[in-house]
Amino acid sequence: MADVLAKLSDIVGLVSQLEAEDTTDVVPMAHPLDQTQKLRSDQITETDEHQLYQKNAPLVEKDLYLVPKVIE
Amino acid sequence: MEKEINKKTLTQLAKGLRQGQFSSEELTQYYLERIDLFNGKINAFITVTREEAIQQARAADKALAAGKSGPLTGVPIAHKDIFCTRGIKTSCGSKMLDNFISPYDATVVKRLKDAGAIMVGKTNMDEFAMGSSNETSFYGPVHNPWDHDRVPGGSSGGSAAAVASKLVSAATGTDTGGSIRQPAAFSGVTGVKPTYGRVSRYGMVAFASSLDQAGTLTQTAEDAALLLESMAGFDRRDSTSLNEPVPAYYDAIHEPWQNLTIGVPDNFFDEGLDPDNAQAVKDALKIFEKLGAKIKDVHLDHLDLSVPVYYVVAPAEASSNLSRFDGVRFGHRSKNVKNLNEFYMQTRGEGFGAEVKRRILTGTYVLSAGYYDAYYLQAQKVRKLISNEFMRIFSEVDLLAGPTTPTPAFKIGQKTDNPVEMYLNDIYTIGAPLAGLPALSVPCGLVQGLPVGLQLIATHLDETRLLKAAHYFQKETDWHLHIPPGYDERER
Amino acid sequence: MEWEVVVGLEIHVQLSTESKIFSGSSVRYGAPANTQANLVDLGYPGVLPVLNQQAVHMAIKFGLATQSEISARSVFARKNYFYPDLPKGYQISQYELPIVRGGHINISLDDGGNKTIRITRAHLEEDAGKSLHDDFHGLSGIDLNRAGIPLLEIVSEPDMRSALEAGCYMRKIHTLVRYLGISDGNMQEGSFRCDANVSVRPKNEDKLGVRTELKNLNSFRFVEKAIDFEVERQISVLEDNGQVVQETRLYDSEKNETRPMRGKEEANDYRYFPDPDLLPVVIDKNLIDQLRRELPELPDDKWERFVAEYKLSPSEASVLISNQASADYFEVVAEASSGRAKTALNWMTGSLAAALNREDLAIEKSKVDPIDLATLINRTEDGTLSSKLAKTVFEALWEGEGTTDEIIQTRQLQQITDSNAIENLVEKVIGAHPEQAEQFRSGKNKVLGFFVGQVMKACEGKANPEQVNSIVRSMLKAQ
Repeated sequence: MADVLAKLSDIVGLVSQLEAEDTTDVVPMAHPLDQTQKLRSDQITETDEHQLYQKNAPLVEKDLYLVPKVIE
Repeated sequence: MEKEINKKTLTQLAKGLRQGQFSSEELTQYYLERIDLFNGKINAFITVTREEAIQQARAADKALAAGKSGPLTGVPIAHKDIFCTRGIKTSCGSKMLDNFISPYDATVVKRLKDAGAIMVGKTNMDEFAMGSSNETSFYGPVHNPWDHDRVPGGSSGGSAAAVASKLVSAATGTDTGGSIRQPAAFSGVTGVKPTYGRVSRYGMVAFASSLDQAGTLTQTAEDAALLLESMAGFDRRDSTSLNEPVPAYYDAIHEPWQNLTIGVPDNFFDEGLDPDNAQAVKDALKIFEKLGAKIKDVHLDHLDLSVPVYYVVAPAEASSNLSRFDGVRFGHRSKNVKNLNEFYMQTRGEGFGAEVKRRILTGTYVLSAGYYDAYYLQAQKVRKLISNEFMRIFSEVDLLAGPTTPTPAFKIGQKTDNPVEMYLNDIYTIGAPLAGLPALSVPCGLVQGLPVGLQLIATHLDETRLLKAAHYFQKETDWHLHIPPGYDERER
Repeated sequence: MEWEVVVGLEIHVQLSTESKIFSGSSVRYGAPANTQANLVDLGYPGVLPVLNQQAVHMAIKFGLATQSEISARSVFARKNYFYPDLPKGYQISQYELPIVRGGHINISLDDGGNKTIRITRAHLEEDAGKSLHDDFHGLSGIDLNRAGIPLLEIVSEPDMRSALEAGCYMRKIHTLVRYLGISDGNMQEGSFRCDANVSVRPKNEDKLGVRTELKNLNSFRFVEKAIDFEVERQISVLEDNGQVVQETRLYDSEKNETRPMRGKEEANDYRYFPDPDLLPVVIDKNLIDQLRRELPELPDDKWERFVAEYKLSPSEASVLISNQASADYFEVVAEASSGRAKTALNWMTGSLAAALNREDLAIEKSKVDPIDLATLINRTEDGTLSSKLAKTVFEALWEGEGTTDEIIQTRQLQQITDSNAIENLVEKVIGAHPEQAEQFRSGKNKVLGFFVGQVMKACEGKANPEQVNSIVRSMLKAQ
């Protein structure tokens, strides 16, 4: 982990170069092309395949995914 | 096999199969044998799907005999291990998914399968596509077939090396900051990244969602055109997929040459660029002039900012995309944890390698309260400036051209101590994904025995012009026909 | 020290779409664990969200019904945090550009006044899964059926000044979303969830006090009680010269107290950023106009109409409209009985309510059809049926014996209005009870009731009570 952290300040140094650029009135670009969201018709298209999916699950009991206790 | 398979392009193989020059089973066995012979040295494959491939090949032969073949029927290809393949391990080069068998096929995989292609295996890659050298893979580095002590490039290093060493006729790859083009240049093959949204991302494990695109590593631009025709097109499962018809790329690139203007950014040719590499690129540009193209100098004002923008935006998106790897529903899970917190920290600490961790930390940092405006938001704004600049330039030129990389392949281990130095190598390739533009790299020379690449960039959805220019270049040159020493069939 | 209570509510409404907000999985309640969680819901590697059109339309309808601004362009953002019921490690929600902004709801206060509660925003987001804490040897079990169900989060300004006002607002929103058909509002099933932000400040102070967030408020009563408790608690902390800690607290309905919550809500930086897998949602005027035309009559408008058209009192109208099914039932009955609104209302709050309660049914499942009830009212008014027998017919309707007219016919319940027939009956009865007749003659007028009762008994209640009364009186007098 020390190795990971050591290089981070170099990376931050690299990206800090951005601060100098004047971006007044520039609209941030979240998507490279000017598209808008297509809407999906409200229909049930999926069937139950949980047995297939749960083959990959590390720990399952009674079809539930088990995790260390969640405290509320 | 005396039919000189390893000299044939994917296009020629597809034709040869239809003409009955060989069977798909013969071809597939041929490649599987080469994989047995050579993969130990270069480590291009993580998984070889021997039985499935033979079965698919036999089915392909039946289809060919019945006259029911598609454009790619019977042709063996490989998929970068970032594409989900149903029933087959999909690891993304990471310990985190070492035990993951995907329950579904990525759209790209399905479309190529429907077009008749045979999958021989999953190729090695930088872990979760984060890297430019294929040195961060959990499965060990990939070795460049041109010089085993050198990197093949990354993150699609396995695909590039596999195609270069003729272990397969073509492979899929993904490109976020150059991950198809740079390994294509280092490995002496043709690598194509389409327009953002041209090819579906459904089933392609996400690294940086607004930059990722699926593409091809092949011997020629003609091969790429053939593959892309089957891969590209709207997918309703991917909201960012473009609802635009897919041109018949293959036919289009064979149309007569039309003159065009090629812009060459003068600031690509600075001290960072290896002089021999620069010369190879300049010589390549002369070919275009000979074809009738007009070469024009342009200047990219924001070139220097593209690397910082990328290394804010990509890690930010990646840090969020990788949060799903928590050991609950799939993937690596740490044992002996005392509580929920430890569960997350240990599972992810054990599952991810150092570069992935670095990028997650960077990404988390630039999105965090107090830093979001200065880093993430600012980067997205500069990204807009970069994109605007490209659009302005494309109103004056039809294509941009330049070197793909500053140098040929570097040695394994040479840059791993200095991530920033590694990042700066991406300087030429990073711009296109930021603006969503299609781009490719074709081999254009050998510098001290190592391949170097010429990069071409086009405007949105202009793949036809891009591929056609590359195709005509390859009709005039033979760099793409060179085989790495030791991989020519006769020398086996 | 006089204290002022400041409350804002965040209500999460599960939208009643067929499929989830970003995948085509079913949203049906009560399915076996993890049978309605597909790859997208599970956050598998490589999957991508695609937005459900109906969820967008439902959000717009809510905005239109609350005089809100519908954002022409809205954006989905990722809210990043780790929790086992959150498969992707982030929730897709909306942050800077929600689909609905501004707007308001009017509530009626007990003193008869009105108050406007402003709505800050309403946005779309996906629901998380559920953690089950039955012991799996010290582990929790995660069910992701709920992950991805569309939610509309409605955030109010801190405009409420008491637990009662909060209860009113919550009820109003509850009624509204059911009227709009965008949610079934079922609090037991988790379709309608409320969190309250509560703070106090000295009266006439402008600055807001430190607020706590109350969670786990799944009934109108609990919201009010929880707020009351919390207000008392905060006041006593402050009067002791302490500081209110900004925290999330859970309401314990058994002990009627709130206590701090441990776990995911602790000081989180959610690192919101626009979700790159989803594009901006652009909503054009045509869609808004189309959806506006599809809006049903809203509760406030219906209330005003009921008061005006049917001359109901404000509280009578309020009771009816609070349940759209009741309001609709009432209207059918009233219209079919020539506008006899009060009578209809009496039947609904009397016999009908009793029958529904007895069998624990909602009015939608009433075994008496509103048309049949209207007919019953009409037959009683036009004299076909004696008012004394109306209840009998109602019970027969409830038991499914047929329509009103069929029952009257089959059981021969037609009211006897023929004076001669009644006279004959009265004559017989007077003849059969000479002592009581003598008592009347000697001035005991009360005995009139006895004779009326006997006559009614003799004719099984079918004779018109007013006529019986007057004929008995005149025949007794004429003795």
